[in-house]
Amino acid sequence: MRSSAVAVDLARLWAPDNLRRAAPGVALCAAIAAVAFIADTRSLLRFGAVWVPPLILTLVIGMALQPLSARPILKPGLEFAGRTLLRVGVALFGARLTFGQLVDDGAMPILVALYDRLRRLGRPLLRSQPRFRPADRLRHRRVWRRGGNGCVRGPAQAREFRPRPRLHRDGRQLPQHGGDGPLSAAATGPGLLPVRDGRVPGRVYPRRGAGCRRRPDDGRQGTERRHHHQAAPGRLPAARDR
Amino acid sequence: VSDARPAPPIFLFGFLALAALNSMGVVPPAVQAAATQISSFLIITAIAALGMKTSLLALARIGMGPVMLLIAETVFIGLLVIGLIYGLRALGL
Repeated sequence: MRSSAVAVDLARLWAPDNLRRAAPGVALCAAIAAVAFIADTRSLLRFGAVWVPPLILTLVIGMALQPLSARPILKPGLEFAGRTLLRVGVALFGARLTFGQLVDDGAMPILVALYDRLRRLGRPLLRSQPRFRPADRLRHRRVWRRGGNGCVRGPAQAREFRPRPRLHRDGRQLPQHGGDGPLSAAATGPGLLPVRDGRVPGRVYPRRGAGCRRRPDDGRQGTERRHHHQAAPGRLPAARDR
Repeated sequence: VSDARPAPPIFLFGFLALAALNSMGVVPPAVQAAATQISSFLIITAIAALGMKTSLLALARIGMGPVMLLIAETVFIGLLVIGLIYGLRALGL
């Protein structure tokens, strides 16, 4: 069976005779490892800001001594060290780790932090694609419903209905209700809000049937308001808008 | 090894078992420090052996194919991990 075959393999590997045959090669490898280890503890591997890991040093020394590996005295030891000792070392490596550290340390937090940084940079991009951000979508919908002027039943009427612009006393247009989107910081100046089809980019408009009540005068107001708001995006609306 | 089937990686089970013991806090710190030292020394020894078995001449003789395979594997693993992280974060995990 397989398990017994593995046991036989292990027994063969650790048999005294095989260990004796493997001794010279293992000793040579251990000597190389010791050189690298001591060099590392004496910080001989630090060159300014650059730190060469002892692993790299052993690899280089080993590759420099590669012609020796053809010698029959060393060969079993190299096999033993390269396979069995590596496995034992990896198994023992588990003793320094906990499952929590597997998640907390290592490359994981670096990657997560990197991802977070990228996500912050790309947030306006993500906001303009609200399908990817359900939480924002809900929030914006709520804000819109609180501050807006009615509900939109479908895409055609969504074009006609956008929130009434808030007007300053002197007729300048103030930022829209719920303007906490990515554009609000850049576009709070009057007349700077870009309007496309009566919609403010970056804002999420409710979809059809999303808990909206239809107002009785929807259709009538929609047609007359279109003349005001689709005239020119950057232009100030008339002071007597309402 | 006579039969072609690969042996189960016993050392991985040992790794997981030791990590589990360490997670439960059973391993005393002194043992932990000793195991850390021994394991790093063993791994460095093994790397020395691997370096001695690595012949740049032989590597050049077999051509760029296997080297490219190794590079592709490394890139694949990196992309897999990054993709998993992104995917799990997108799912809110």
